[in-house]
Amino acid sequence: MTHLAFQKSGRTLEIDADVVVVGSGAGGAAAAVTLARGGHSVIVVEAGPWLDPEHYPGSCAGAMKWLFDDWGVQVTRGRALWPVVQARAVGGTTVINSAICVRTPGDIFMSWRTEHGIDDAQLADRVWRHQDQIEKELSAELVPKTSLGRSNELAILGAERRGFEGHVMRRYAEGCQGQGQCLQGCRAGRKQSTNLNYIPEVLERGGTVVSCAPVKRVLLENGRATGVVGRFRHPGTKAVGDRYVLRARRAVFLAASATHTPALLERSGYRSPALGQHFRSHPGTGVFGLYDDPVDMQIGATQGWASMAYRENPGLKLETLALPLEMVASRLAGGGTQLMERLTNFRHLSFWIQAVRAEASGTVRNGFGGRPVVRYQLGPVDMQKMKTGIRILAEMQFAAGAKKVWPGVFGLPFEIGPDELGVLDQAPLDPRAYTAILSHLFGGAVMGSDPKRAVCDTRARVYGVPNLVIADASAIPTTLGVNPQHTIMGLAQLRAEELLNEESRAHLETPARASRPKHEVR
Amino acid sequence: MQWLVKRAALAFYPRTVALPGAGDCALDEQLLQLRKEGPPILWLSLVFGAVLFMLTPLFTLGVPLPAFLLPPSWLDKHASRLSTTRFYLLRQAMLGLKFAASLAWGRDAEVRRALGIAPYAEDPERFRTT
Repeated sequence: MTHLAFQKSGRTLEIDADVVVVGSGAGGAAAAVTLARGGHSVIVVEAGPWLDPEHYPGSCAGAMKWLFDDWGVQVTRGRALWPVVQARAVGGTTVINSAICVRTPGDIFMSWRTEHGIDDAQLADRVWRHQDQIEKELSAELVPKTSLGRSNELAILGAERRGFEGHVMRRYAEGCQGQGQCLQGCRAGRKQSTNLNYIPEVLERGGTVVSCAPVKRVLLENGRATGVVGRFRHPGTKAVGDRYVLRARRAVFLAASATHTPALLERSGYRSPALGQHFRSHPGTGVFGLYDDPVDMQIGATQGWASMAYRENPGLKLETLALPLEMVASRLAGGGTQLMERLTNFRHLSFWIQAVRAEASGTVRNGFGGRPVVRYQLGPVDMQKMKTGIRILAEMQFAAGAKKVWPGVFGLPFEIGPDELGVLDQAPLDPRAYTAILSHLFGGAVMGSDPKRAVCDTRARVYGVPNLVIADASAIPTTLGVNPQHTIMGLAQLRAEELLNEESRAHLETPARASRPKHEVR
Repeated sequence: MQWLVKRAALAFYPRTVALPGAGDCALDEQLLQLRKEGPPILWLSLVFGAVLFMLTPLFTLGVPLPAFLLPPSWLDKHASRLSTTRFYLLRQAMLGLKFAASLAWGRDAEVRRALGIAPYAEDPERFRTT
């Protein structure tokens, strides 16, 4: 068991293994554990630090410093500056998300087949088989009734009264205690982020985890990926540490995220017309409801209710979300005593959101200092969906008993009553009028059958570099209309399994192949 | 430049009868942390926002004074109008200032007590080193 964190000794760290996995979030951890179970020596390299539940910060500022990628301040370039939210820590975004477990919908595989030539009739079954296993291993269960909290209960009521489907969420959380701190990492250790299960298992199976170690580039030699290089970086002080070289005998798996994987490929000198293209997302925005009695959204599961009723038409997923006080304070319109007056209502607010299944496609490029540059903006069709979602959420809030709704759209009144819903139809289609974030990210190094339109083939092997595998959301060529973690994990495990199967076939064909040591540390 | 950012950020969360303001919280420490440990672009945008905040009372109030010379009631009106201006980049710059101040304000134990919500646990500021 070897975990190597920030080091500054003036030496270069060099390690060899069968496989190097870049990233330790949903994709990287799922791939790494499958490879380790298959007998491979694995090195997982992660840009951020390894925090255990007792290290998790309490405050938002702490979460941004220790868990968020670039403090959460990366924004899209386009008409609107919307934050691109993801984590930088061992466990990746699974540490800060709500661990929502939704199987890949069947229609997604169909669209991959028709639009991207991913012509594998068994793909859905194989992904679902892995998802079965992941659900068991990560204790996926419905949020317990006692942990829902009032905001989630009101959402159940609101959807019921409006007459559309809604359900208590199924999450990778065993016995959620409803502490409302998913965003800062679950201090109760109930949320099954991958730093608590798959990554420790990789260590137990003899693997190596290298944390605080952003990868500078992938080593590409003679059409093969032979490893990665980078330098340690202290997560608190940002001091630069030792250089490291991690060599892979068999394969390199990239799972650095939908923004970092394309940027890393570009930095590594890989060229493809499709690299950085087809970046997609589910932009999210929400509506506050103001109630007579305290809602206390900070008590209960951060996210406990969802609806798929509008997934197909117009293309929305509805959810609850408990926003911390800091985020409410900055998100609400206004300033000065007027804002302070609004904030006195904090305990009486519920916040429900929509994730828009956007059709827009953007780009990711490697920017200054290795930071990805995301260009992305929604067109009128997507904005119409967002506008529709605002209205649906507002109707739901009133149906649940809200006395006022704060739609949070520039150009509309700050507050509307139940008889003023028509005002929402006047909402502009300009994205700059909405305070949204991008949290479900896809594409940038997509898979497909056409090398001109895809970076990797239908088994996520990078074109021209067959032992370089994409195991994160950057390979996903479409939006999903549901939370992506389960799809990312299922696909990543499948990719690892494919490598193992391929090698066992090759081994049978050449039984005299020399055995190699599991690890070589120089 | 930290004093400039602080002066601007304070205006968004003034002390009221019901709630402590950002000036009652550890705003200096928060801004110092953002300056020293946050991404440089974040600090630059805060300074940019603060400069805009100081120079724009002429447009929000018709008063040819920098914001730091405004009496409290006018400053309050300036903060409110600027954060809801129709100029998107200006509005976003103010959002950045609000965000920076809210990190200190929202974690403050007294603020949370005044609102009747539980205080945060301490940030351990630690990670696995082995």
